[in-house]
Amino acid sequence: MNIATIAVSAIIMALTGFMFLHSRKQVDFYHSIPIRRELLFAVKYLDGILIVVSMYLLNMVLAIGVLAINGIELSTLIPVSLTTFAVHVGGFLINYGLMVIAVMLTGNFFISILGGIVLFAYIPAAIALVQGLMYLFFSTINTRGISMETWMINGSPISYYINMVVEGSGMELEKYGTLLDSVGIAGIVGLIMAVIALFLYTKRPSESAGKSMAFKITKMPIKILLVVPITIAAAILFWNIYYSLPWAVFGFIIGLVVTHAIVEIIYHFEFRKLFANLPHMGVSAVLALAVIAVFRFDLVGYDTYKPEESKFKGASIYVSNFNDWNDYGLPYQYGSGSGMHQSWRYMSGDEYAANNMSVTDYDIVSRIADAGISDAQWAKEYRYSGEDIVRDEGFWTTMEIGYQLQNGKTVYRNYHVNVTELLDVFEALYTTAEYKNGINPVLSYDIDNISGIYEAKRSEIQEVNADKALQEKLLNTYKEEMIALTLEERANETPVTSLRFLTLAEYEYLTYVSHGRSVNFTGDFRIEDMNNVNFFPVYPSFTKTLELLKEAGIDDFGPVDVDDVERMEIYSDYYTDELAYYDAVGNYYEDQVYAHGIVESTYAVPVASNEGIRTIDLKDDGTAEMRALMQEVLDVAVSHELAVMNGLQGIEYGITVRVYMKEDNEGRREADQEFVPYVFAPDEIPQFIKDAYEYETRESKNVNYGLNFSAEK
Amino acid sequence: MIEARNLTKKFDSIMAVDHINAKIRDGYVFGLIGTNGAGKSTFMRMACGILKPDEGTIQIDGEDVYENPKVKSRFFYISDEQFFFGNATPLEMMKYYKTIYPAFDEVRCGKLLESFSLDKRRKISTFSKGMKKQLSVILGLCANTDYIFCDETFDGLDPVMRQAVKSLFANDMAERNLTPIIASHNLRELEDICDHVGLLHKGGILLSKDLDDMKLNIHKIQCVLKPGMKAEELVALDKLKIEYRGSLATITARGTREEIEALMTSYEPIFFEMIPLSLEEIFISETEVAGYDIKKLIF
Repeated sequence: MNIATIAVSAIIMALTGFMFLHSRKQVDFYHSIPIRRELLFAVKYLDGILIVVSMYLLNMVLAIGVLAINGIELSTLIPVSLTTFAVHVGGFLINYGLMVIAVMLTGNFFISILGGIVLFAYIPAAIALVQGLMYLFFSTINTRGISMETWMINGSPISYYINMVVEGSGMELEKYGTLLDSVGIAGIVGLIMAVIALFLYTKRPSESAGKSMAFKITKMPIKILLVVPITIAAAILFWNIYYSLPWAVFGFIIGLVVTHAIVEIIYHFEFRKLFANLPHMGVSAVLALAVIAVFRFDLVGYDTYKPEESKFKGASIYVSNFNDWNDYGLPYQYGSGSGMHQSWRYMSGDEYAANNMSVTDYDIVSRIADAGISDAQWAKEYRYSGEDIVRDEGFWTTMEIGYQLQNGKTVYRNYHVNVTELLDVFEALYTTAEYKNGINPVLSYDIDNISGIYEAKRSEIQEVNADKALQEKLLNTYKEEMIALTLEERANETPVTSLRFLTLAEYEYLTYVSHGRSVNFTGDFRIEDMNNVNFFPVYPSFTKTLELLKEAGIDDFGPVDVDDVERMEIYSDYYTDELAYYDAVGNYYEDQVYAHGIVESTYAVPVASNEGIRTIDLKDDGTAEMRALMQEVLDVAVSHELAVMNGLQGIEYGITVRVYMKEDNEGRREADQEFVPYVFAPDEIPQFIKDAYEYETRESKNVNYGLNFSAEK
Repeated sequence: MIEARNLTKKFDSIMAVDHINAKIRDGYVFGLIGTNGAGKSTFMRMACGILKPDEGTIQIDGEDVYENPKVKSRFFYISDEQFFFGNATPLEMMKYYKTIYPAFDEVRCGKLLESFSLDKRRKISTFSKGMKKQLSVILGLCANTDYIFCDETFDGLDPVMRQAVKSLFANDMAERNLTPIIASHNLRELEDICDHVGLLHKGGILLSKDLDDMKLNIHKIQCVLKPGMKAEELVALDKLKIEYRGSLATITARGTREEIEALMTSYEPIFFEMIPLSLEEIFISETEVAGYDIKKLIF
């Protein structure tokens, strides 16, 4: 049986089983006979369950029979069938229970369905609204550790049930047993719902049959619980469309009046009552305004939160520009025996830091937090007015702090901070072992757990030819130099290469992936499968590491020699827009594309016009002039792949150089050739390129100026 | 005995039953009279434990009815529109009631169905309104409960069936002291069956009296008095109403037959005779005395 069958059955059973409550004739009959309401309820309630469960069981037995006849072992079939049965029964119970509650609260079939919709959707919708309010009004919002999605899934029986089934459908048969926890929760919740429904039934007045609501006392609270969030949502909707207070007020009033009127019409079954109980509308308006005020004026102190020192235990600090070069991750296995599979779980740098870092120096954390809080308060007013936020000069970065408290809780916040202003604090933070260990997984590696070392640069990965002893020396030396690395060095150095210390588990995973593709490159696995995960930068100041790499035969760390280059193309994003739809000769293009050969090339001629010119082609034609231009580029260009590993260095992302190496492209047609992307530091762009792109006259540039540049400013 | 004390029920702003005090003695037929909306059904539904009183109590032999299966097993309630299960037959309903009322007499039920020409295997949904009423009464009688509540039950019955049902009631009253409580807006229907009548109006009880008491204590006299003498001059007579048609006076007066005859004789009329009063007339007289226009209340 599928989810829809069970969920719809639950709703139908609840509606039909207790529909007698909507008919005075039937209520008179059932409530006049000498049967206690509790017994009547139990019979009706169990009826609804047994009808579906018995049909399910019958189908299950038949299906097992058919499968067994076709050779599937009963020892496999029966546990799986029983677990699946439990999942669906659990799902049925919670959906059935909630729908029965909806019927108990209402006195009319149509209103019961509306009530059911409200009960099924209210919690997820309310959570979504709170989330929306938080994102709209809070500047330091961070939802790590507060899984709104989980709350939303668990907030409705239908989503909980779907989630259970989805979890089960992707699960190995052997692990089906783990679903029983979720089933157990569903069973307990189902039981609680049954008790609530029974309580409501025993309290339900018989005269409510045919009315909209069964309990007079619930009318106002339910109305307010509907009107308040819908009013807020309408105000937010109009705010998000127009970014204007009058429109937000308009949305607020429309949401308030329309929702209140609809509820009143439903309550009275009479259109003319749309403006009944106006004081309730007033109460709803006040409550909605109060909720908005809580978020608008941050009355809960969300954006200003910072734990006191007495409650502080440690903190994870993830500074985006410090460590934004890579993704981390771990291989994991599932299944067993012949059904064993391996997969990869990606982990972002902030997630790794949140799980592995605990900076205990309160002063460092506090000073950074103060700066972040101060910025959040300042930026908030700009956001509300719809103005662009223009921050002071300096090297700004986004960051996340996870305050680990003495009571075991962790509270996360996001901040914007000016690193330039807090340079001494960040220098101090960067050199603590707590910070470095918490952001660099490689620092926790052990040589016994390493299968090999791989180097990646210029879009190529190669294995470092080193025996175990050299590997150990390399690992230990790299760790030492990484721990000793300072912010100042980071600000001045571009990585010259990157290393991956491949763990045994990663090796096993990559081998598995490669075998799955029936290929076997570079030993046991396909090196392309390594992607760019878990590669760590090697800076020029890591002299000992570089020495050891030389010992292993890798010494190619300097600029590319012009003799190795066949040609290069220089692109600028600054001209993309002009060429989005028409090229130089007037051809029309549907999409914004980089069209090689279509646009007119300058061939090293400085560009004087924006129109029709985007690329500068440099090709080794044997002339000294051309070779000099090419060498000028190669001397200052840095590999894009390595440059992005250091967010503290200045990079001009608006100008890219595609370097076509002779070695890679020998015998290939130009269209099939491979290139290595390079970029420039903003202050090292060759003059002829600047002239071509009128670079110095441009006000808006796609530049990460870097810590040094900003510090100088 | 069923006893209502200060029984009150409100539906939103409408006072359906307003502090009613009433006693229903066992072994007598209690008739509940009132216009639509007078509160008869609400009273009945509280008496059957369907509705919970807002104030006051309704008890059977000292025990509250609401949510009391023990007490509820002592009566059978026939609503103005009795519910039967969808597609059910009389036989199935009989079996169902047997599980609810252990003393249910299936044999008698079968016989009664036969004598009322109701096919016990025919779907009840195909029965006419009158047939459904007959079935309800048969099921109710065979439940062998002490009380049977009938809300407008006689309204859908033809005169022959009404008489048949009345004789069944009479039989059960005689044999096992059944107490029927019958609500109706039609006074004529209750005239020949009720022992005690309660008149409801706007949720309150206007009067509650034994029919015999009313009949014995109120009389109509047609007379021709001595020339020059007016009925108003019969001062010793407790007159309720006087009408003239020429010299013929019709007087409604309170008192026993003997007392009135003696008084009339003492006034030496030219002619007088006692004529019987219908229940309607008794009610008109009684309620007019109470300040109500009965014609507006009931007819």
